[in-house]
Formats: sequence, structure tokens, C-alpha cells
Amino acid sequence: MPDLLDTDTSPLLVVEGMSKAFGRNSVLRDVSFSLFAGEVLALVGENGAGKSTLMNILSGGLGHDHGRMSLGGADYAPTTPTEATAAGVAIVHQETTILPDLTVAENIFFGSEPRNALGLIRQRELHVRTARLLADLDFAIAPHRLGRDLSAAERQMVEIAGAVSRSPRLLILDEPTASLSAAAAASVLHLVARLKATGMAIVFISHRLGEVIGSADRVVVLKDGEMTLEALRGAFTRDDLVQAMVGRTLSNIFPERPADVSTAPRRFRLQAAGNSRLPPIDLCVHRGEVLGIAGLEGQGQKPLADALCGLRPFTSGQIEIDGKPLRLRTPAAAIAAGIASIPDDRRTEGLALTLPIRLNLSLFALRRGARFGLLSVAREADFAEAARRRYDIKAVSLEQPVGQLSGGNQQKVVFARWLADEPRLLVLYEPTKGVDVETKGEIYRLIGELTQRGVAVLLISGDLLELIGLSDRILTLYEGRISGEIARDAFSEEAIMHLASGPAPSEAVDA
Amino acid sequence: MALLIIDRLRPVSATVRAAALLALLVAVLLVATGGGSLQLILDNARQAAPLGIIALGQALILMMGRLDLSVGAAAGLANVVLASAFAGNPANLAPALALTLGLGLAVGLANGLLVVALRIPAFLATLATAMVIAGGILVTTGGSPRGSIPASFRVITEGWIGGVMPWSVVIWLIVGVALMVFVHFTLAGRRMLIAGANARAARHSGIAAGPLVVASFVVSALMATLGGILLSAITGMASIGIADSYAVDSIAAAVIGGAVFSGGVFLPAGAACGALIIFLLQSLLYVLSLPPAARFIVQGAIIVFALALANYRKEG
Amino acid sequence: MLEGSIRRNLLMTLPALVLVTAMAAITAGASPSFLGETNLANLSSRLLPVALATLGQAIVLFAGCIDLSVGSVISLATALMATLSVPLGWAVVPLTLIAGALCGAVTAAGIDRFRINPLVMSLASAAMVKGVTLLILPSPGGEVDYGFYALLFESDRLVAPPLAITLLVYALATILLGWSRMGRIVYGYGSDPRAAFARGASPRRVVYGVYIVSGMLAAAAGMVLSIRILSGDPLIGDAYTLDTVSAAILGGVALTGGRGNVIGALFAAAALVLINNTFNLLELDTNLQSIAKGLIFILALVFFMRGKAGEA
Repeated sequence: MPDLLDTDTSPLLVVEGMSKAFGRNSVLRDVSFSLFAGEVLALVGENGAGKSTLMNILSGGLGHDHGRMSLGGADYAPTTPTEATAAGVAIVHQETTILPDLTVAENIFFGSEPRNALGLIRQRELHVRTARLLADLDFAIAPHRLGRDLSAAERQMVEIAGAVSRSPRLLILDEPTASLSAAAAASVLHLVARLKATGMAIVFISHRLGEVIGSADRVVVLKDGEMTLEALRGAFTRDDLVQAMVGRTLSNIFPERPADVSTAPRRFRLQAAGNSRLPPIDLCVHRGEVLGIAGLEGQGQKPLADALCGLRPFTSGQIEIDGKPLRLRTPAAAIAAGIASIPDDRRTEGLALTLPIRLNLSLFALRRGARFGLLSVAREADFAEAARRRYDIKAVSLEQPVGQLSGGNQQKVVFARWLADEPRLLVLYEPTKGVDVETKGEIYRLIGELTQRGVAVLLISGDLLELIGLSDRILTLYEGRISGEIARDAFSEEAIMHLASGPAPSEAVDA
Repeated sequence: MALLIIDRLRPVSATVRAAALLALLVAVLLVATGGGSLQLILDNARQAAPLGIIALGQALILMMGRLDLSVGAAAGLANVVLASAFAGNPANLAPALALTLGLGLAVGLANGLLVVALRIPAFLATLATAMVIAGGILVTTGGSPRGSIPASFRVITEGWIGGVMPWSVVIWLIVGVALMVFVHFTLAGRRMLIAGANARAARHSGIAAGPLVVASFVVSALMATLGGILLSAITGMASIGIADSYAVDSIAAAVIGGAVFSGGVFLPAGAACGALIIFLLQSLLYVLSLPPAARFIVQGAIIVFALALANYRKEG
Repeated sequence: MLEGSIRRNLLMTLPALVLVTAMAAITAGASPSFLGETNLANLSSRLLPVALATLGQAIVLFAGCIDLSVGSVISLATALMATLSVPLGWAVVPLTLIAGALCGAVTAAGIDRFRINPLVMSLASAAMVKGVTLLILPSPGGEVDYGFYALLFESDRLVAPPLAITLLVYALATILLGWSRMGRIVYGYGSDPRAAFARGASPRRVVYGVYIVSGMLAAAAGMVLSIRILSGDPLIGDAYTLDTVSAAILGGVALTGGRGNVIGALFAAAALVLINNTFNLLELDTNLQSIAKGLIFILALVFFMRGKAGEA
């Protein structure tokens, strides 16, 4: 039911002077904007810009320090997600909240199941209603499937369906298209347009600038917790968005690339290499080259990265490094062969967070300093101190647990550890995820330096700006296979997205 | 009041905290018994040595992010086996020790393999081995174990070096220092520490956690066996179920000493303080002539207190 | 009715059904007296306490936690019955149940307020409860009012109170866990606590709920036990803790939470009782039982952990 009060003139959601800090770390400073019913607001910003914090405050997952919000004219300050739901706000998180052991239908209606007179859940009705809802939204997912069996894209769609089923006044979508193919993303955007026509207000976060320009009525850009741009449709360009997000033009943050690296000797090569999670793949990287690997979420990036570092090794095909055949059975073998790999999730795969920085830094260097299995404490301390200076790691003491550092400094520790010996091949998997812009620049510069010395870099990333700025060549992955290759002079977001959404018939693969 | 104390203790390192608590307890005990001497304290340490050594093994297991609930049974096994193998005759020293330690090794290997190769959660695997060991002891002894420990061997707990230092305390110290050197100053120990703090990160860095976990269970079982041997020397005979409470007591001791269940922390001095605290508390209860039941309540409460304190510290 | 996750959870009970059938067949083959009505009635009165305690354990496991204080609470209940049933009469029943609920609440408080690992917290409360029990009843003894026995165990027909209570309690639990919002939230929380919290489930209510229920069921099990032996025993419950975990896992309840059905736990509890019965009928050393149970437990873990690893 539309509100009979003057909905046309007063905004549905008003956010004023919103601020939030975690300890001394201020993550949101004085953010204000408003949103009318039937409008789509795009919230844009780099990782760590404060978007998720803002979303969590809006949806009751997090309190705020200063500022106020109103929803439909009334004060709005939810302290729990349940309160936000009751007020008519629904959120779809990027990290989905699908319960793995419940079915799609049970997930959608979790906590609001239809019940009979005895208070017992009507299981059949639950599934029938879900089938209807999903059909209505054009989502082809069976309501009986278990949460754990859904793909990333399907999880996202179930989350959206669940949020929509509650007919909220305000729908918040946190990067709803990040894991979707072009076709699925288009259908989500189409749905957004349909919901908007019913008078729902929608906030969506996106990294894809094309999407933002195409479907947002209003855009808010955050950088380092501050609002750097608020504009209405038609009043902003792609360059405005980039400028507001990054704070400078991109050419300054990425290192200068040499004109042509394809004539350099071949450093690393895979021929029909695959395993149970990864169909056979062919690729090669030259000395000093940055090979970008692009793709939608979950198209084989993780299996590829895991195979390259020996965690889940290749079981078929040939691997060559500097012309010599190689077996990559274990992480230790990969390290011995000169392959360094920076994992995507440094908190679970990169660092021992509770241990001091010194111990995390010296992991590989230790081996050289050890005599008869005994550690050389003095050498370890020297090494750690040198690494701290070399990588400008900002820490009170090297004995501080590494978990206390900021994301950017943690990532520097990871790099410093892996680069204790100069690798031949550096595999980077989302190297700047959750890292501040300044550290990002430092990491990019470091990559530039390494390639100048002949290190080959394989850059797996979902950040298109980063791929375009750093790579000499980009391969796209789709369903675990290489679906296309783009040369430096043909780089564009559109070209990458096009190839990443499915196989292209005429693209040849360099092998 | 309690919160105020916790707040004061917050920034202090876990070992220092445990040591402070220990000092307080010693003071209380001395007052309660009407004054005492260094000798008295050392005598308490002498008797606390079995628990102390077992707690060291438990601390190592906790460093690996696991739990060993079979240490009580393993210590009991050592007691029964040692006594019957010795049969009161000092000449049986070598075979008795070899058999006892060999069985301890087997228990540790069994635990490690159940956990690593069969991927059974450690606390359940060790609970099951504890049950099998206890059953095995009852079946083979028929409930009345035989044998005794010769007096010459009992020197390891009853004897004092030059009348000033109990042998068992020396053994305890040696084992503790050895473990500390191993963990903090050897490559293998460092790998264990990192694998315990974050097994996935360790694996990514070329450290296979599996063999290290097995090794930690072997060490823990050997510590339990050694604890059982010392306990036998104290009692001089075999008894059923004499070491049962060590499973929970050793966890409590390690936790008081700053061990955390998420792994990656090894504080042998803390664990030693923890073991002394547990032992002294039990003595205190005895001195205050409280019923034996009280020790269980204290045992549980102290675990809750130590963990609540540790978690409060983490969040604050 | 049996749509969605309920159907899948019921399928997980099949191995336990096979197990209990096989055990029954073996026992019947080994001893002709097995199928006699007296032996069956005897079995069902032995099953009742195990079944009650196992149900509580299973519910805690559904929520992804574990309760190692079950045995101590059982002992406490026998001690309360042995000391209070004669002076208090029927009032001892609610009193014992409240005591069990309190034990559960203490465990839950440690987990919820102090963020202590559920396993260790329940181990700590097990020690504390044991201490309290030993204060109440330092050694086996005491007396339980015969009126309780007359009511519960006098009949030696198969369809007697023990079997009826078991079936009734399990039917109620099955319905509440499968078809109520409360039950759905327990499964959802065990399946993924973070996600369930984000979707409005209250971790506090779930944790307190499951541990209080488990405490009450363990207390009920202890009452039944003390009524059967007409006395109390401060250590009688110890062996039950592992039995309940064992039965729940054999019954297809996942240690990781969110999966399984109490019916499977009932089948597995029955299988364990049959194993005991077989040992008795074959006149084997009772100490062999604890070895056998330990080995069965390991086998159950291996079997069911494998299945899970394959799925993931």
C-alpha cells in the first residue's frame, strides 16, 4: 500500500552526519544523503571505503557513533537486524547468509514460516509458495535444493528472493552482481527496475561502473569513509566516479609498463594441466610479464591458485618453469621451485594472526638461518627488522600480534615473507583485497619493481581497474576454462566482462 | 569487585598473571597453616610434579588447537604397568621403564592417527582411547592390580638432592625447559607453533600440519606416562583410576597458565604455575578440612574463571 | 509433511535403523530368551534413561554444541532422588528437573556470557556438578520411594510406562524439532550460527534453550535410573556421557550441527542397550563392555566423519 502522505515530496530515507569509528580507526565520517521511494541509489567506493559499514548501520547490524537516520518520516535507529526488518528494511549481504542444511524454501522463509492452527510449520505450503515466488522473479532454482548445494550465483538469487518476499520499503543489495554472469546480472538489474516501479527504494553497492551508470537514479561515492560525490542520474560520468573513488587519476597509482614483454623468454608454462576441480588449462607467462586472470566469482580462480601453489596440485598435464619440467605436488615443492603465492584470504591462509609479526615474517628465512635444526634468534630478529624497514610495515613492535595490524600492513607482512627469497613466479590472488589505497599503491609499485627484475607475475583479481592498470595481457576464466585473451591495447571493462561471461568462439589461446 | 580485579590484571602477560595468582595462593596457604618455609613450598612442588609434567603435554596439545582427554587414563596405565612390571624388584628397572614408555608411545600414536588419519575430533578420539584404556586395565587386572615400586626407584619423587631440592622438581624443570627450547628455538618447534596457530596458513607455506599433530599427541602421551611414573613413585603401588582427574586438571592448569583453545600459544612456565595452583588449591581445601567433593567444584570453577578472564582480555 | 530438510534428516537415520535391526537379530539368534516379553520389558526399562539423555545430547548437537555434563547431571539427579524422594514425595520430581535445568543454564551462561568453548564449558560444569553431587551423596546409597518404582516398572508387559514414555517424548521432540519455528531455528543455528544470527535467530536463546532442555532430560534420565535401582550413586552417570554422544553420532546426528533426526538417535540408543544386553546374556566380563563401547564409538566417528568429508 502506498503511503497516502506526500510521498512524492519527502524522502523515504534520510541519513544525516553518519559517523562510525572502530577504536581509533574512523571508518565513516559525516556521511549524509537521502533517498526517495521508487529510486535506485548506487553506493560506490573501493574496498574499505566504508560501504559495508554504512550498509550494516542501515540494516541494524551495527550501531553508529554520531548522526541520525529517518525512515518514512520517523526516526530510525535499528539496534538489531530484526528491528530493521520490522521497519521494512531488507538487506542482501554480499557474504550470503544461506543456511547450508536447510532447503531453498526453508531458507527464504526462515523465521517467518507459514504455520497451521497448532503452530506447526506447513512444509508443503512453504515449498509451493517458494516455487511461486522464484517463478515470479524468473529465478530457475528448485525450492527443495539444500543451501549447501547452491552455487554462488544461486545463493545470491535466493537471498534476493528472500528479501523481496518480505515486501520491504527499502531494499539494500550489497554487490548483488559480483558473482553473477552477464546474463544473470542483467536479470537482477531487470528485477531492480521492476521493484523500483512498485515504489520500493533500493540501495545497491557495485564495483561495475557500467551498471551504476545504467541503472542508478542517484549515486553516492565513498572514499576512506568520507563522501566524495553525490550526484543524480546524468550529472556524473565514469571519470567522475573513478576520480571520486580513487582520489587521483589512475595512471599515477599503477606502475609504468614496458612496451612489450612478449619477446622476453618464457618463464612459466602450463600445458593441459588440470585436476578434479579444474579442467585442463594452457597458459604461459614471460619473464617480467604481468598476466592478468579475470573472471566472475567462482569460475576456477581458486582451484587455479591452489594448484599453482601445490595445495591441491595438478594431476594431469605438464608444468614448466624456465624451460624445465616441474612437479608441483606440495606447497613445499612449489616454494622450492621458486613459485611464491599470495593467498586471497590472508587472515585464514596467509598469517597466523595471534603470533607476533616477527614469527610471521621469518617463516621462510628461518630455514637458511637454522643450524642443526636450531633457530638463530639473532638472525631472525635482523631479518624481521630489515623486512619491516624495506616494506615500511607500520607496527609498534615486531613482537605485536600480526592480527593487530591494519589490513594493508598485514598484507605487507605477507608480501615480505614470501619475497624473502626472490621468486621466479609470483602468483597473486586478490592481492589488494581489504587494503587501503596507499598500501595498494605500494603493492602496485612493488609488483612493477619485481617485474623489472624478471619476476613473472600471475595476477588473479576481480578488480577490473587493477587488472587493466597492472597487466600486460589478460586471460578470462569461465567455468574453469580460458574463455578469451585480451592484449594490452584492447583492454576495457566491457571487453573483459564480455569474455568473462562465456566462451568466445574466435579467441585463440597463446600456448 | 571481581571485575575490578580482572580489569587490573588485563594488560599483564598470562604467565605473570598465573605467577601472581600462585604467589597469592602460597601466601594464603602459609597463613592458613601458620607459617611455613621454602622447604614446605618445595615439598608441595614435589608432589605437584606429576600434574605439572602432564600439564606441559596438555599445553603442547592446546598449542596445536587440540585437546587430549586421555592423559588421565594414560597416566593410570603407566602406574599399573610400571608397578606390575617392577613387581617390587629393582632389577626390573630397564624392562619396566621400556614397557611403560613403549605403551605410552603407542597411546600417543593411536591418538595422533585417529585425529590426523581418520580426522576424528581430538577430544572425542582421546575420550574413546581413554575409555578403551580404562576398560583394558580393568579386564587385565580384574580390578585389583598387583605389583609395587621398589624403594630405590621411589627416590625420583621421595628423594631430595642434597636435602634441598626434590628430584621430581628437577625432572619437571628439565622437561619444561626442554619443551620450551624445542618450541621456541628449533625449526620443528617453530613449525609446530605456526601450524597450531593457523594450520591452513602453515600448509600454504609448505608446512604439513599432520605429522606435527601426531608428534604432539605422542609427546603428550609420553608426558602423561612420565607423570604416571612419578605418581607411582609417590604412591609406591598400583591403583585403579588414581590418575583420572588429571585429564581435567591438566586442562585447567594449562588454561590458567595462559593456553588458549584456538591454539598458537605455548607458555610452559604458565602451565607450571597453573599446575601448582591446582595442587595448592586442593591442599588448601584439605587444610580447611572441606569435603573431597569441593575439589571438583573448584576444578570446574577455576576453568570457567581462567577462560572467562582470557576471553574478557581478548575482547577488552 | 516430510518435505525439505526433514526428509533428508530422516534419511540419515537409516544406518542406525539397520544397526539396531542387526543387533536385535544377532541377539535373538544368540539367545532364545531375548524375544521373551520379560526380557523386552526389561530392555525397554533400560532404554528409557539412555534414550532421555541421548535426546538432550542430540538437541545440543543439532545446535552445533556438545554437552559433556550429561553424565554428571544424571548422577546429581540420582543423588537428589535418593536423599529427597522419601521426605518430599512427588515434589522431588519438579525439583530434580529444575536442578537439571539449572545445570544446563550454568553451562549456557559460560558459553553465552564468557564465550567459553561449549565442549570445555560443559566439561567444567560436569566437574562442578560432580562436586555438588558428592556433597549431597558422598557414596552410593540413600533410598528412593518405592511408589515411584511401582508406577514405572511394576508391570512386566511390553506396553508399559517405560516404552510409552520413550515413544511419547521422542514423538513430541520429533514434531517440535521438525515442524516448529523453534526447532527450525535450532537446526538453522547449528547449520551456520553467523548466518542464522544475521537472519534474526538469537544465539542466546538457542544456547540457553538447548542446554536447559538437555539438563532437564539428563535429570529425568537420572530420576529413572535411581528409581530402577531404588537408590542413588554419585558416579553412576559418568559412563553415560560418552554413550549419549556415541548414540547421537551413530544415529546420524552431525557433530558439526544442523543435521540429523532424533529418531536415529533413538535407534542408536536402542542398539547400545542391546549391546549391553548381549554382553550380559553371553555372560562376558562387563569391563569388556567399556572397551567395546570405546571401539564402537571410534568406528561410528570414522564412518560418519568419512561421509561428511565426502560431502564437503
